[in-house]
Amino acid sequence: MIRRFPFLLPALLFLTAAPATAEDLRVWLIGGGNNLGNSQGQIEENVRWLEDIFANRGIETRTYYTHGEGADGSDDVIYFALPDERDPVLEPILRVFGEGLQYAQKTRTNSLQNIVGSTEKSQLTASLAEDFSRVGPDDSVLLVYNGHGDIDTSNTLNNNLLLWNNTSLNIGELNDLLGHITPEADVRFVLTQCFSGSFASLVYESPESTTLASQKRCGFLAESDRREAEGCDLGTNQAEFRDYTTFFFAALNQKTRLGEEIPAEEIDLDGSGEISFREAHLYTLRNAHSSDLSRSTSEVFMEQWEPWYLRWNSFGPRNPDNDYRQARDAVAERHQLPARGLNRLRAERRLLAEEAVQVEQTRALRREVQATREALREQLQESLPNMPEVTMEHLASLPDNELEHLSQVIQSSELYPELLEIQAAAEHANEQLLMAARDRTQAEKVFRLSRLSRLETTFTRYAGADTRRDLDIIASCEAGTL
Amino acid sequence: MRLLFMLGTGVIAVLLYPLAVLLVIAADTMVGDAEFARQLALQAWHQWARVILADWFAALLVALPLWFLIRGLARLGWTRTSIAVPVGLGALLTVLAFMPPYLPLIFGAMLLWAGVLNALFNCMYRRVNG
Repeated sequence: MIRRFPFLLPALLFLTAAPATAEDLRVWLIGGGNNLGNSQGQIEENVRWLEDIFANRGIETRTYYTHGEGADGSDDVIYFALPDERDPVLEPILRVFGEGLQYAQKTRTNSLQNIVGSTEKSQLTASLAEDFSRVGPDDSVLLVYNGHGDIDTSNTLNNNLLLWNNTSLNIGELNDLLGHITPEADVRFVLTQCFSGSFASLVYESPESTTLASQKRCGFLAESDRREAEGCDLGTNQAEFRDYTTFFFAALNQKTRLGEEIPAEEIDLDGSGEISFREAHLYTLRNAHSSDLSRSTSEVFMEQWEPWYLRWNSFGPRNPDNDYRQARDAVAERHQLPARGLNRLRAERRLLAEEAVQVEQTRALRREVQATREALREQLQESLPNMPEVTMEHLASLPDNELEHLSQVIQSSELYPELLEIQAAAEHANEQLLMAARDRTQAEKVFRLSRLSRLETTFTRYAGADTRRDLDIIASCEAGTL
Repeated sequence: MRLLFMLGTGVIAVLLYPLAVLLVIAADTMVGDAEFARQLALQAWHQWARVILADWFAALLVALPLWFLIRGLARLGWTRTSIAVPVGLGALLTVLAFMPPYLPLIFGAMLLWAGVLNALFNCMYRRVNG
């Protein structure tokens, strides 16, 4: 038979060998808030952008988002509506009786394309367990979470992902889910929620363990285990986004989310022609003028390794030539910050003091808003003595003509223009406060990058063989590409 | 009095690390990245206190054998050696923390302190027993 079909054997060999050499990237996008009021537009924008990036690269994604339905489902996105989008009748009423920025908020259904299920805990865990058990030995897994996180202040190893219907998934539970993936697969995670830093422990077989998991795992985290992350803004203007997802995936895609090409020399640090996850992370560290102090699992690993005899030993080689030192210098130069020593600390303290002033101004404006609202409410009680206490339930039950009347009475008050002015000032102060936090974070980042630069140098000299092997495993995972 | 000296030598062994780390902190603040100063200025006290206590505990594994080795030499009659070697070696290691091969300063500082404290201890021991 072989003689009669001389090409059969090579063909059979080729066909059987092909799947073993092809590494498939399998992507899971998990997103949305834990309830409608906490499911901000930016989260949806991020997930949609990621769906587009992967679709353009021919990579299939499985998206789990809020209630698990697309445009046919109930509202699951809340966003900041521009003035001309707001309800002209309801807006004045909500300015007086609503909470915070409620007067500017609107809700809608999501417009994602690839939703396969809900993020409600029981549904998500069942679905992911099934999905993960299907991962093949030659596959690599990328898990991206865009949503909220919660902190356990007594032990941040119990920090949570906040899921739909106010459910939550902690690190241990996520670790158990990842355990369904075959040990031969590479597993990468990008977690962008608040307090995400402690999720670096997912590289271990359990959160408290120091033994690496059976799969090669690594991850990239937007923040430390005790700080809030950017990325949950009500606004949907992509030009204003500065969260981890925005920079990290722009680097991987070599294009910003506004479509601008990123020069290869800014991302491709090793000149390999391919952008690794680590390079995308380093690009983010250098370029993100945000309030995030992002980190990778290898960085957390080095920070946790630092032995007692190297603590505060920061006066070694002045300029170790590594990526962190270069990133530090770039951030320091861009933001005109001293790169080292007490001068850097002074700069950080100055920025912290400026932020504290901004916090106080914002609080004062919020108090002013509240006082003006209360004055306006009292005035309304006099103008409309028969008006019952206005609650959201009451407003929802009011007929249109009564709503319109209430709205007109509010707008005719001499206090209303004052309220508009103060609320606009409070909105502006919130933005200023965020900018101050971003500026201060750059000084913190310079410090952290300096420390990482030192740790990377000392690690290669002082770490034991087992510890070095563990870091090599994590680092080789981080060096993977899409 | 013997008990007092035994107690004193134990206390010195335990104090070697905090004394040495003062030198590290001084160098870190003056010519380094001011990492400790930052912790002191910007972090909650219990955060850096926890780090110091954990490091102190870990350092005892080095500090105790070092101190009792030096005291042992002194008790065996090698008094000058037990002072000169730790001070000389400590000074050398301290210098080598600021230039290649950039050794960890804490070891040089602990040796230096061990030598100096041993000299003081010997002095007091002689005065009391002399």
